[in-house]
Amino acid sequence: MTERGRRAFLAAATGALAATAGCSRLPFVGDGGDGGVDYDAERLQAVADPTAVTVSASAYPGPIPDDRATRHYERGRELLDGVPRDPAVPNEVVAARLARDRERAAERFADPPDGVSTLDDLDGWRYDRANAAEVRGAYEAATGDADPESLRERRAAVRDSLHAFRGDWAYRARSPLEAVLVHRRLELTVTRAGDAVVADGPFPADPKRAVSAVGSLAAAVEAARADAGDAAALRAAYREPSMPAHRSAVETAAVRLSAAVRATEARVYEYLDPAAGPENFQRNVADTPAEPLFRRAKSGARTAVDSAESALDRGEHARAVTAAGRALVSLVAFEAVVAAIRDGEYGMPASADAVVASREAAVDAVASAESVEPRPLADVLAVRARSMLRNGDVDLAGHPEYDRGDEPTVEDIRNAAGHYALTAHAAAAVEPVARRVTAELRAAAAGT
Amino acid sequence: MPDWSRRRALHALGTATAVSLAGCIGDSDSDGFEEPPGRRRGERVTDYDLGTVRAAGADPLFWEGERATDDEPRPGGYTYVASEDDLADVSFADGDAAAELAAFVRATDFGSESVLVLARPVRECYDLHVRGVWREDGGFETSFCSRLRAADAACSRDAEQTVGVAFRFPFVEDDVTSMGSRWSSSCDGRPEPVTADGGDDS
Repeated sequence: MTERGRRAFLAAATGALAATAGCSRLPFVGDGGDGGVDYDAERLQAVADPTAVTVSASAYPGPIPDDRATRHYERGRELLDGVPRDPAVPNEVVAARLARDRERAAERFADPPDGVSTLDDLDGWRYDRANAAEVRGAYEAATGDADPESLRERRAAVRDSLHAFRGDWAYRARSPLEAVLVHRRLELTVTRAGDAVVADGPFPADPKRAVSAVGSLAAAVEAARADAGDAAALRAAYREPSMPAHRSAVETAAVRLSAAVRATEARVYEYLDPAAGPENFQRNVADTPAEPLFRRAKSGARTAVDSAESALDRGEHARAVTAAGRALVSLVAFEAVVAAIRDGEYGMPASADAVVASREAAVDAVASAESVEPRPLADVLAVRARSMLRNGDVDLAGHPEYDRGDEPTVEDIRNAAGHYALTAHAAAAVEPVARRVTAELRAAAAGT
Repeated sequence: MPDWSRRRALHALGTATAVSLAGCIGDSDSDGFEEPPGRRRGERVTDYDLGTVRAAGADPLFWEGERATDDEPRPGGYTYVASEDDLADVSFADGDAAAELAAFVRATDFGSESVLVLARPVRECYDLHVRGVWREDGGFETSFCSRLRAADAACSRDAEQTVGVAFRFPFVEDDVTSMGSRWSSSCDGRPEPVTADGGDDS
């Protein structure tokens, strides 16, 4: 039984007991007999809508050339055209898997791309192209046509193109902020390509015995080629000769924001320490929203700080700027959470109305954060708040893809209240952090 | 605890005994993988002779006492043969594979050697590999995994075959009361961890 299913069962059992006692206004959860609260679970489930929240930032100020998705589509089809629908392979299990994988991959290539306008959509076509390469690679391994030398050559070609790309990377953009927003996506793409040309393992000595492994190696190389091509095309489509270079400013801002992260982290380290737990508070927060709120705020802050450090270590300066911004958001939110819990806040909500009110406050806070100027930066910094809002809605309504629509239990409601509180704190942090990030970029660009 | 040089020698043997059970006695087609160490209570046994057979169909290769009277008895189970008396209680099926397995068992020098025999059905398009055998108090534990056969190996998706495996040990376990087997559907494993002595710490 899944955790949610188990909790739903317990909630149902609670309801059944209530019915036995004559309190049969189901579905309510909670235990009104010991000072607790009965919550209108059906209402809370209905008020949440996890599908309405798009967590990831949409900000990419550059154009997305149409021919890239078309290129992925054509290359994917070309790869699949080399694989028969019913491969003549003596091992029937291998033959059946190849046929199945080919059919699944081909479904994505039924129609050519039409108006690819987001990088996520472009990533989808790149993924489909790599899938097609996996099928082709596995088929060639099965038929004795796998060519490790060709794979090596393609890897070397990708490495060369990535090397050339990095050697001509001045972070040209209309402004330092736009340099961050454009080039962080290019950094992501280039890093992904660089990782993919490192083979997971050696080429199998007997490819016919390892068709899946050969397919995986082929897919990784194809994905790297696609990523390297996308990075070059995206930069070429965006870059104009008149744009100033911002590499130095972005690097400087990344380093200074990293220092700001460390300073902010030091201010809350007593509570951020791995050994610190909810028991550090001078009150019992067990079984209240304060408990999951503290844990989630703490783990989010630690993860965000690690991500910022990693980006800087990898030399991804634009990503280091945005990751530092997100780390600051998480740290400022964590500090506010600690202060509020110390002040006695975040006990169990008094009623379903209180939960609904906290959700509405969270929704308003996200909207307010997203309206902070400059908006594209606010969009990037508000990811944490949107993510927590979505988590709260998942607590109440269930996961849109995995859950069966069980009504929320008391524990779900407690977690949701914690998530909505963290949403509000993370959203409130967007404005001061955006101000700091903007100021650091401006100062770095001015050479001060 | 064995001394280092012995451990290293046994480690080399252990690597060589990760074999594909392709269907012939003495097959030692090593593919170099090993069971990840550290999950067992017993001592890994590496100095053994291995006999394997592969037969068409899913029928028992051997049985103790009377043959099961089920309409369609399935292959499987094990027998530990530590003496001629034990051997007298084991019957082998007709057919080349069972005869080959029986010959391997009968070639055991009972008194100083013993033999552990197992059988299992396997789909025709898959190989069965020995990952290792461990000696525990009062028994043994074996570990196997299966792997898809080569793409050019003609085989049917649904057909079943039977694999028989015999480990001939240079010792006799007096009182075998337990037997455990792990059967994994995948032979893929994590990279081997590095240990300070570079040896097998199972």
